[in-house]
Amino acid sequence: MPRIADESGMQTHQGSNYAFTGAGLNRLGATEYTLVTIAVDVTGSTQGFEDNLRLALVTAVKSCKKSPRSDNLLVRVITFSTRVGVSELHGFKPLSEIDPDKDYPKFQPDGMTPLYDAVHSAVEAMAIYGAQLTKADFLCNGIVFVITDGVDNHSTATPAMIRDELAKIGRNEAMESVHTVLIGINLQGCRKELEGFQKDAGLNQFIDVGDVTAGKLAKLAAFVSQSVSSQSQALGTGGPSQAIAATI
Amino acid sequence: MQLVTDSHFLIGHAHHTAGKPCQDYALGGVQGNIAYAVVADGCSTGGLTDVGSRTIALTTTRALKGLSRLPGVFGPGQVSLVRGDGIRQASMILGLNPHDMLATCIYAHLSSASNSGFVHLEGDGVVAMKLRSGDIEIFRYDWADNTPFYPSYMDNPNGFIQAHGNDLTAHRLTRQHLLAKADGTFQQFTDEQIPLGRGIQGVTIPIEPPNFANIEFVAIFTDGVTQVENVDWKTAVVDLLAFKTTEGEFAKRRMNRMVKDAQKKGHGPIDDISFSVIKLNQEG
Repeated sequence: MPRIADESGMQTHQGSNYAFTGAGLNRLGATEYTLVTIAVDVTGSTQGFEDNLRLALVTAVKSCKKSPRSDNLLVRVITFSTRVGVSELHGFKPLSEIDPDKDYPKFQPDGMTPLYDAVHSAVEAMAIYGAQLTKADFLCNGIVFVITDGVDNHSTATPAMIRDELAKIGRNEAMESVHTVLIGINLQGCRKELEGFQKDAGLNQFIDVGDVTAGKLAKLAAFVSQSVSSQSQALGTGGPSQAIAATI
Repeated sequence: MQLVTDSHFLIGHAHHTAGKPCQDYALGGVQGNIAYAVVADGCSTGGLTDVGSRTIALTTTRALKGLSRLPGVFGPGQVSLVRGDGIRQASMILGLNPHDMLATCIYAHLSSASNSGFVHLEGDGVVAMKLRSGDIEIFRYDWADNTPFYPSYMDNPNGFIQAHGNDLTAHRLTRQHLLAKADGTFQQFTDEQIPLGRGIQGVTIPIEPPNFANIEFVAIFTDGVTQVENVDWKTAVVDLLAFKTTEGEFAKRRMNRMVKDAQKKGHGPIDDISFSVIKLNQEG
């Protein structure tokens, strides 16, 4: 659907419940792209480690810039909480146009957890934008990371809606593959619920990081970057990359 | 007028399954206000013609770029002379023999300063010009008995002339000329039979100022475009010029998708396939 391009060449697209932005296709020169979405929980419970969480995000995106596939990555970053809703820090954008130090402002944790809405937005936006890339002759796949410290308690979307959206991508051949990773941090007893959500929503991988430390968040950043590289290298094979076994 | 180029070449099914290298090559580029596009197709029964096709394409490119720096206009005759020198040097350095150099060559040279240019064909292949109206003017050249003229024969064409019956007036090269209309139909013009004596000089299609502004893309193809399994060659040409976007590697994207779609109906390109495209961007 229709898009309005702003001065930076980003176009706005409308999903079922959320708008998102993506680089105008006329600006993209490569033959293939991996779409990357990182969704970060900024609810009240992340207070106390929000700076380390932001640092992990900054480090992950900076690491992606060093990947040999960096010219073939389009990255979208969203945060979620009931205070900000599902908020896009930036839409699908070439890495060269992202300055992680400036583009990711200090997180301000507050509010409850619209986890399902965030995952649904991540998957649906990827499906819509990926389908447009595919239609315009680009080869494309995607990877979604959702980083959360708790279970959903405030969404309109459901795990079934997310599962449907993922199934649609495969059915419509909108993208070559999409890999989805749910990352739990500081879970404190809600691991089982998140595992249940992973299964119900049809997400590919669940990783429990455990208690937050600066070292673990650094490892998390490295995992994100490695997984992105791996998925990007899988482009053209017809399937997703092999999940990287995370020991964080 | 801004000129931009892109090109792509892919191995065909026959060479892939036979463990042979891709013997097609394509390149293009812009130097100041000129743009060039080159494709070359090595002979399957020749020697190291994968190297030969690259050598011919690269030396042709070098000749086009060098001649463009000089004042005045130039044509295929000058390109051939300068290229010949390059081929001799490259052959000596790489230890190539004439058998390795059996490759066709098509090149296009456009200037946004003079709003003119030309396409020159040595051997066989297809030339297409997509007009701003959406129509595509297409020229296809085929040599009789699938025995094309290679530029490397120029040093001693007697063997080639004999292989074609030793009659320079005999019609051995066929040109099909047609218009693929934007509405999806084709208008076929009369086929032209070209005598052997004229064919070995190569065929030049001039692009003059009145037409220049009407053209959106000039594309040249090796004969691989006529051998995509279960895809009519005219449709293959039209499909390859149906660019969705034209930033960066636009020709690679289009060919990759076209081949992927063709492989749903058959083996895709049976022969190696290559094309090189110049986009004439009016906004530049």
